Amino acid sequence: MKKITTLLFLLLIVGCQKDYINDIVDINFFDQTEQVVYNNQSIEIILPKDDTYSLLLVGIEGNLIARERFIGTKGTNKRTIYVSLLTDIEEVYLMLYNNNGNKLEEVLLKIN
Amino acid sequence: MKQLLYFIVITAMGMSKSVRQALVQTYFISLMLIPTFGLAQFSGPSDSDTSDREAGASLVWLGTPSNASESVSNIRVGDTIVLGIKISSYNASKTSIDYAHIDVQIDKRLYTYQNETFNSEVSNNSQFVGPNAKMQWSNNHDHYDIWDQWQNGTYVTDSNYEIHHYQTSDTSVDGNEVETLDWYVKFQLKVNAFDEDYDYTDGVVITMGRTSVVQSGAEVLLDPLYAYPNQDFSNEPVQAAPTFANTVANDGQNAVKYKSFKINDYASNGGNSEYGDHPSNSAGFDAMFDYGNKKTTTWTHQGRDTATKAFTWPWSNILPRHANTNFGWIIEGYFVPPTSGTYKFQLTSDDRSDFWFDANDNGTITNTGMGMGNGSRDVDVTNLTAGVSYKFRVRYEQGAGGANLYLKWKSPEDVAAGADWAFNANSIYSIDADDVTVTMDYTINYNIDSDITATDFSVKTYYESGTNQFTANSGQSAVTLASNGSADISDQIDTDFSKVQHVVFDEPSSTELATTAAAAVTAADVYLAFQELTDKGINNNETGNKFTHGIQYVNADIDKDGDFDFDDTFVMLDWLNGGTEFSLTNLSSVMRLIETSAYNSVASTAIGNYTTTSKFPLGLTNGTTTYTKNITVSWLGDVNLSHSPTPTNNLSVTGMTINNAPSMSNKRMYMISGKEIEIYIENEIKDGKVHAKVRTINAGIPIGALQLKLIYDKEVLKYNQHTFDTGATDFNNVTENHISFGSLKTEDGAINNQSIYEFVFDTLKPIDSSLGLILFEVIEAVTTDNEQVNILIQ
Repeated sequence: MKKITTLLFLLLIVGCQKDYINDIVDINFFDQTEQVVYNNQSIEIILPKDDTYSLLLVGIEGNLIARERFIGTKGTNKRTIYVSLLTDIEEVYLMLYNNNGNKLEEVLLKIN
Repeated sequence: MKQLLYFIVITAMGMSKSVRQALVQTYFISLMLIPTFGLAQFSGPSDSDTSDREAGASLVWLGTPSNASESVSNIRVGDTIVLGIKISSYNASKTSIDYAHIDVQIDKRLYTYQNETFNSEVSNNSQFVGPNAKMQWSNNHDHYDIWDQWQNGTYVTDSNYEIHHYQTSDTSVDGNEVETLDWYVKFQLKVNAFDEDYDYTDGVVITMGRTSVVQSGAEVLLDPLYAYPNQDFSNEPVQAAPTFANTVANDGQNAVKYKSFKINDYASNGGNSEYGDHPSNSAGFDAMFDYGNKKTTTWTHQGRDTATKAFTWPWSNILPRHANTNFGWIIEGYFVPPTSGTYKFQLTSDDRSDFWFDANDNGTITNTGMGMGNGSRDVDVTNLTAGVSYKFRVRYEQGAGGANLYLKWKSPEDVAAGADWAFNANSIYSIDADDVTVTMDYTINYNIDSDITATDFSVKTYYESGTNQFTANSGQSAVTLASNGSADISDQIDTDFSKVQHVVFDEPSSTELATTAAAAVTAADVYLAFQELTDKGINNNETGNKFTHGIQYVNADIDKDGDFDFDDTFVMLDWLNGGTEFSLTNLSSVMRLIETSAYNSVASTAIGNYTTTSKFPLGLTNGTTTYTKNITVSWLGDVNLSHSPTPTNNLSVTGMTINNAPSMSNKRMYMISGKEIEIYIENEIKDGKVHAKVRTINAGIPIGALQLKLIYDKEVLKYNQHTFDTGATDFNNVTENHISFGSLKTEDGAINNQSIYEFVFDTLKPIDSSLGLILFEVIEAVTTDNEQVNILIQ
């Protein structure tokens, strides 16, 4: 009986552990140097303050592919990345700029 | 038939020797004349010494592996022949032969043994070979008495011969009746080149043998067993055929086939002649060229050569011969009259000649009876039909002294016109003209612009099957252009020259076609066209021109009315705006094919002379087999020749000055200036809509035309509206998933230094971001001087 109780207790502990898969979205997308992305992927980025920012898609050779201007809020912001038009591109940089034109973050996207 | 043969053989045994020989001779003649006579006992009894025979063994001629009825006279060195062995019983009390073995001696110098096959109706067969062995006859017995030779003869070593021993013991099939079979074994021999004067039939000889039957449980021999006559299989020598010389590589026009003979070779016949020095009649020619039976004639050459060489002279250019004396030719070909009616033929020769013609085109060639020569003779051949191939033959012999041979003719039209005798090599073929397979070497070099991917295109050959009707040549396949634009269509051409043929581009898909046109006709073309008109272009016979090559006017005539004017620039603008005024129904509506030599010199006043098309006539010529065609590919609307080759010759107009026309030879029509402008792009979600904005930063560079492309995700966005602020004529062509837009200055001046292009899209689903939903591509920009400008997206 003691063994059974111990086993049930261990199972309870394991069953109450956090779901780490769900926790990934809470991590700042720019915390990694590269990320694998797919079309329509929602990402979360952490902004330092309320302000106007720009997200840029920049080719490996530094050519600008797309720019989106948006108003962000301090803390975690959800954004969606669309890559279906990038048919012949396997890798692209995602860059975050502030309203003064200064680059804040950069991550290499590997398009899945 | 078999019974008939036996009847002949058996009946002959009761005849006198002379009668039997006559019968046999008649029999062989019938074999030669009726090649379908089939299996036959090749040798028959011909010697009275065989009258006491009980059985016979004969060699049976079975033709060639592919034709059992092939005549011996057609056999040449290199051929394979088939011989069989037949057993006969002539003793009524000794039938149902159940055992036989016959030895055959092969002269290896004359033949190479191939294989043997026993008849399926006999069993327990075997064969052994005595290599390097030859029969040592017992001269106490006749050589054809092969039973006694079996008892008394021996073998001796001789590397030139081999002995084959064919044995069968038929104990179970068809009641032991080997003698009922046409052959119980057959074997194949390949004829070797040895000595053309040698009697090849002596190279296969029956040497020994034995047959027996079973009577009262015991083997009883058939004795004597004879082989006859003389144990070989023919009396006709096989002369090695001379090598066929292909002086003319292929059968066809201006070609004949010939045989060349050494004649009157008395030395080879003990100084005796076998025919007249010069033939006095047709039979004389027959005898003179009977190389198979005449020792004084040798077949020295054969081949295919030009009709010109055959029927014109001098000595320096005539058909092959062993020497310039005592030679003869048989020349055969087909005469194809160009018109119908009666043709007069003239044959001139020194020494003799005759002329044969299949005037009815029914396979029967007959002597025209024009005589034997020397000198000129002529004959009328009536009712010839134009285009039909009539076989003819000329026989000629030269003894010594002067020599010549000419064949000439007059068509009905020549006769009517009083024209002289003439020879035309194009009317003579080596085979029926309908059977001529012309090996055509036809290469088209499409001078296609480097910005057009040549390998995306393929061509086929068609012939005109009616008015404006074209039918693909049968059996052809598409030829993909090489990267340099060349296409080898040699195998695609129908050599029936009565069909007017064209090489035709395969139709691309509508998408590919639109892509090609979109690349070829852009804002820079339209801008240049406007400039030309604004400057009162050449076609208006005024000065101040922007076009430097005539083909530009041709390409600028986009409405195809034979004139370049504002109607064309209107259509061009409409095209940029996505209108339908520019006809783009198929490749032939935009592709222009001009022979390169003409393309380089197109006159500005000849706009209407060059239509758009995707096909080009091949222009085949009788007697010509090698062609190279250079065709330049340009595109309707490609005014600045950005996708068409630049002509090597600049435009020149008598009495006029072309201002500012640089030397454009071998250069592109637009020049890359090294200048650069920037465009700033940005998306933003406002009021639930996606706004995409482009702002140009020209940095003072006077831009005359600018074209960009916006690509959007049609699954998420839907075009709503646009707002442009450029100070120029703008265009905006919205399609399902992209927008072609831009501006061009149709008046003096340039597009605004900072021009704004803004688009608004509705969203088809809720979105929190627009990053990646809209992309921009650079098409082109040119200055007001038509210099191409680089565009950098910022």
